[in-house]
Amino acid sequence: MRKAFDYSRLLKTLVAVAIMMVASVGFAQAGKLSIGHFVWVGYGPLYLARDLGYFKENGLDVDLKVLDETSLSMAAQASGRLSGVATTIDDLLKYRSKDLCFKTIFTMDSSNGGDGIVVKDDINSLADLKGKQVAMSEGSTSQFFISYLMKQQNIPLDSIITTNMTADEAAVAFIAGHVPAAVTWEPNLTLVKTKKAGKVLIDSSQAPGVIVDVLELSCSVIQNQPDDVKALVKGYYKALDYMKAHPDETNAIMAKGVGGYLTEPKDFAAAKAGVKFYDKADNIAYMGTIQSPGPLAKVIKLGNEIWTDLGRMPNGEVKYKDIVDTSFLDQ
Amino acid sequence: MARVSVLNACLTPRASIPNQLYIGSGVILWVLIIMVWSILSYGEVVPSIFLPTPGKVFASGFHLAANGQLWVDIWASTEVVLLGFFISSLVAVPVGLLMGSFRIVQATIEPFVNFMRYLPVTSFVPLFILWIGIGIEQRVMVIIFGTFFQQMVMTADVSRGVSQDLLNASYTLGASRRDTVWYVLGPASLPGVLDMLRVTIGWAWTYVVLAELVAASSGLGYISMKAMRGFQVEIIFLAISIIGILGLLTDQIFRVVRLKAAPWAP
Repeated sequence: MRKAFDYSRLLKTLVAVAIMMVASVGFAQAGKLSIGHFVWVGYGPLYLARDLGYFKENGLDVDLKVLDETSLSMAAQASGRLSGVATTIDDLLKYRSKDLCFKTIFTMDSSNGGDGIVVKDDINSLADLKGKQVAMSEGSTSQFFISYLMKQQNIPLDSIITTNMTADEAAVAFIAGHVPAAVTWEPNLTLVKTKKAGKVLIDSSQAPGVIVDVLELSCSVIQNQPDDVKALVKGYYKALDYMKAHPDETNAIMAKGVGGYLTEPKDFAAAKAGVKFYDKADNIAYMGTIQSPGPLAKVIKLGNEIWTDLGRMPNGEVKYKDIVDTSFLDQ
Repeated sequence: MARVSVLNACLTPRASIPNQLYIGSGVILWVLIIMVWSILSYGEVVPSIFLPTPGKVFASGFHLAANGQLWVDIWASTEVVLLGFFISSLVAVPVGLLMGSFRIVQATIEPFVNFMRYLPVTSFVPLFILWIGIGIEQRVMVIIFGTFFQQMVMTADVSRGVSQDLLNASYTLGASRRDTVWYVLGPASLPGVLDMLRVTIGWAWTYVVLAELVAASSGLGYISMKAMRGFQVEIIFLAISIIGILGLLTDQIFRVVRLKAAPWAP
């Protein structure tokens, strides 16, 4: 006799799977922080601190999750699956609303040559880009960067034709000769030079402190787990100090942790040359305090201006005090 | 008595049910969905960044329709999807029929098709940029790549499903091989092919976001991607709903075409 299909067993299995999935989701709990980020050299010290046990020694468990895009990380944070996200400050401005409360706890690094604009050889200035197609990821740090540079030179933002694609695809389209200019990042800048496909018109080392990576945490986390936040900042500073003293050993640990295109320690080391890490002293100087904000406030102001011009701030201006909490810097 | 028979019809596999009941039950589900949505969003059970109110979605639709942008977006996506779908079907249907009917064609191309059909379209996006560029051709190519190989396999299955009795009968009646392909295999496959097209145009639409990832300046996929950066959830809902409605319309068109073109088929 053929056995009838066992529906009750299927149902039980499905219920068990569902319970496991719900249980594995890391909801807020003391002693635990989960942080989302995309693959970027600047987030290496988080892995260093985790793997050297610098978070653990203060009773903190940090779960680092790689998500492709900030929009995905922010969605995970909005639903409570992440305590915080590491990304650029300009990117964050677009997500802050009354429904989604988060604050920057510390600055991690700034791009110091890691981002740039690649152009064909006959283009020699931003003004030459007038009326030309520029490939970039719309609404991303790349667009913020070129818009910032154009604003500095009083060039209207609509004088270029923005062609939307990811930074990596922009580099591909540029190298293949489909667009005369692209905003992208390393290792694509080096690739353009080695392939002799064009030149780097300007990179972020010429505009220091504009593309800045920060770490933000949900307001509820800051309020409910202040000790964990302190442990996070403390561990991070300690990892930075250790990194400065032991570059080779730490590059290997961070490369393994961050992964992606940075899995090889030598690639990681090369990428590291394009960023500046912010230690405790840098952080205090750069972020300032709510009463007397540091240079970060200027970037936030510029970000608001640029995104408003580009119609990407539907929730209105986000002020320094709405998005920064400097109370944990001194650990 | 009548009530019992309607109930019976509902509980009997494949039995037909009264027309009003058929339409009514479809409408009821939609009303329920919109009701639950309204309760959750207007009642602020779920924060607005997770679920916008129906009113907000409509308002954003009206706003975009008023300044004309919405029509540009709808047309941009429809153009890409239909172009990709037509080009793909134009090749996939005849080749698929041959693949299902002739063993030599099957032996030659089936292994290749089955290899290609598992490849993720996403990984081909950078290659398409290199090979094809960043114009509409690239977007159309994404749609073609996403549907073509699936269409081939499904069409081959349709043609294989044509009853051998029909072929034998036509040979017995003195038909040549060519006549058999042209007058028996072809028409007998028609309803199945139309069903296959109805299913795969839905798949073509699901690739619209991926297609508009590169260098699009308008389109439903493009606006929903753009809205994701900054959580304009109502725009994402709007784009999704419009794609769904377009899909529903397309489906009805295919239903009518199938009824007219192959009224004899079940």
